[in-house]
Amino acid sequence: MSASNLFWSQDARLFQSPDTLETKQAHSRSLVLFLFLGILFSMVLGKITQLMVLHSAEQERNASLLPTTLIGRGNITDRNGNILATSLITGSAYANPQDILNAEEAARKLSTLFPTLQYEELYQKLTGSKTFTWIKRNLTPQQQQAINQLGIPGIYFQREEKRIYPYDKLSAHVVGFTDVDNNGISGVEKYFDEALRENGSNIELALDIRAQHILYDEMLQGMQKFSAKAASGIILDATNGEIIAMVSLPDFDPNQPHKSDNNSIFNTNTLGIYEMGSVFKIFTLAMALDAGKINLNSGYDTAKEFKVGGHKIKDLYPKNRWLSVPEIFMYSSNIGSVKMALEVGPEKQREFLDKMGLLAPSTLELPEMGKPQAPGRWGDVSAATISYGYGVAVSPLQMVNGVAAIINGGILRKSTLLVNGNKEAAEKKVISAATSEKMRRLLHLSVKEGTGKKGDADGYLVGGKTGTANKTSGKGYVKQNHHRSLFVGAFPMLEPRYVILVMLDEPKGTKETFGFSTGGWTSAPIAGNVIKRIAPIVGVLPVNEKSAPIQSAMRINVSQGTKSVT
Amino acid sequence: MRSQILRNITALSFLLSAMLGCIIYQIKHRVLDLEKNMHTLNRDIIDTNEGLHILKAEWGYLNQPKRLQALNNKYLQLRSIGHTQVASYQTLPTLIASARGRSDNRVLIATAPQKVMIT
Repeated sequence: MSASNLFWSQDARLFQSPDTLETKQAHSRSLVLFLFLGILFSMVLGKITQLMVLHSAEQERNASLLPTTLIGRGNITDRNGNILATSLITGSAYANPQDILNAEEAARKLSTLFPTLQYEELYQKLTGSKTFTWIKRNLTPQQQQAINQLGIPGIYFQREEKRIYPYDKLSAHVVGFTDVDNNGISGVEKYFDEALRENGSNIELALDIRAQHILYDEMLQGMQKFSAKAASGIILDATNGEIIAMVSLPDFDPNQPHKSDNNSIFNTNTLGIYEMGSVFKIFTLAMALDAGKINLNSGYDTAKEFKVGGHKIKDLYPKNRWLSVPEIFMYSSNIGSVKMALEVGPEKQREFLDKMGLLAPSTLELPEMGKPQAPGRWGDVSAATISYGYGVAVSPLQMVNGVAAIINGGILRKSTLLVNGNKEAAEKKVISAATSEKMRRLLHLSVKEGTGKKGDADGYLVGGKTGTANKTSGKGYVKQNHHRSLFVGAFPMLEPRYVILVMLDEPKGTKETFGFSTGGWTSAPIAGNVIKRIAPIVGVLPVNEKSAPIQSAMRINVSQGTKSVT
Repeated sequence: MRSQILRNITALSFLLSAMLGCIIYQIKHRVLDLEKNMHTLNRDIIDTNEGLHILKAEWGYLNQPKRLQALNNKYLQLRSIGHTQVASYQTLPTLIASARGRSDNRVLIATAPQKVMIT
């Protein structure tokens, strides 16, 4: 319109001379012409605007609507970005028999291309009355092209998503698996199903696939060596609650979950609830130390069997004398632990274990979570047996998390499978820093001088406690070779970073272990090997354990009075 | 005089509209070409992304620690790093001093690159 206005005003200015018929005619003619031209110009301008501004904007919008990739379900990776679970697009060939012109030829061509497909079967499918029949599912791109080149009308392809786990069994229990329709049905796949499926978000786990492999490798060797029925292992970062490795054996291949039995799919680390035996003494000692009932110089007489409410309490390695607190811990004296616990009292003990997160299920990001068991009536007898690990059953995960709080300065965190998955707000101070420091010395002593010697890894200041827990069967405990052997440790003890648990189910002694199958002989060496291999990878620097500052930091007065350690 | 001006303006207008017509025609074709090109590129991006995706999964499969360990045992026989092979910069002086003090001249830290494995 602006163009025609311009012409109009020019027009008006040019013809201001006296009126004649001619000029009037010319005037009106030119007016018509200018109007016509003006309209043409507006149209041209309009079109230009449309092409240059509006049209291109529309194109951009269309372009942004195009998906960048057609892969739906998100990936699951470890902390270094290694893909633990991903979805691949595969093509599946199907046929509409109504569109097939020459079924005989088509069946012959297809059966030549895929020897697994029978001619007769194909022919029947292709001559059927249906309008849809699968030819072959999940084809490789090469196979898809080969079918295309056969040029059979009536054969079509459908894009399908297939979930794959490049590391096979390695982190099967943590990552979990999906069903044929790509819905998560176990592990992280289930816990984060909505985020993975609907938003296509990637989940970054705290797992370190290298640590995971080392734990897996050593556990598998140990399990075979000691003919154990099952094995559990966890490595947890004591400074933030992140789980960097978690292995449960026997395991399964998430690529073919239908081929495994329920026993293999069971996650012993989170779903399994076990009486922990002597490793529970870690909590008993920490509790008594923190309550001020004992110190490292006090001790108890363990010379005689101790009776609580008709129950006789004996020691596995009886010393038959007065034992100092460090001795009670390193020789794993039941009598000493019971006396400690009873001095604190059942009610305080229950409160303490509850505070340590041992009486409520863990909040780890997995759907498979076992509920701990504790006695309904928590009297002196319960307090006594619980002090050395019977009567309360917890998952290995809870055990590891509790020990992390004992050694890291007394801060309990929620264990997490995600990188930075822990909120600082959820931290809870459970024991004093001084108690924690004492526990670190005691644990180091147990590895250097006590039952945990084989769990040592020189240079990495390992601390730990062994345990051998009898299994229950029906009403009673089963004796002889039907136990769980445990080692719970941490390193480096000066500034604890990682907590490690190794548990074997029904290990059998070998010639090398002189027939022993206790935690100190079976689980401890596995943990020791893992620490030796993993420490350089996770960046824990070795120290000279014999140097003066380390010796003084770890010093502990083992035997007040007698001095001699037998 | 006046009709001369008028005629010139008319001629100019026709010329202008003809020129604009040609330009628009060309622009339109260029836009169509670009659009086609863009669609091809978008398609290529999707294809490449899918290819990358498959390669990443394959890379993970080839990097299975179990497989690398087996390959190492077969061809390289590298062992894990021992605690004597790692040292921090701060501890170097004492380590070297203690190594010099020994008669057998064994150095606690690795002085030359040794075969080490990082899985």
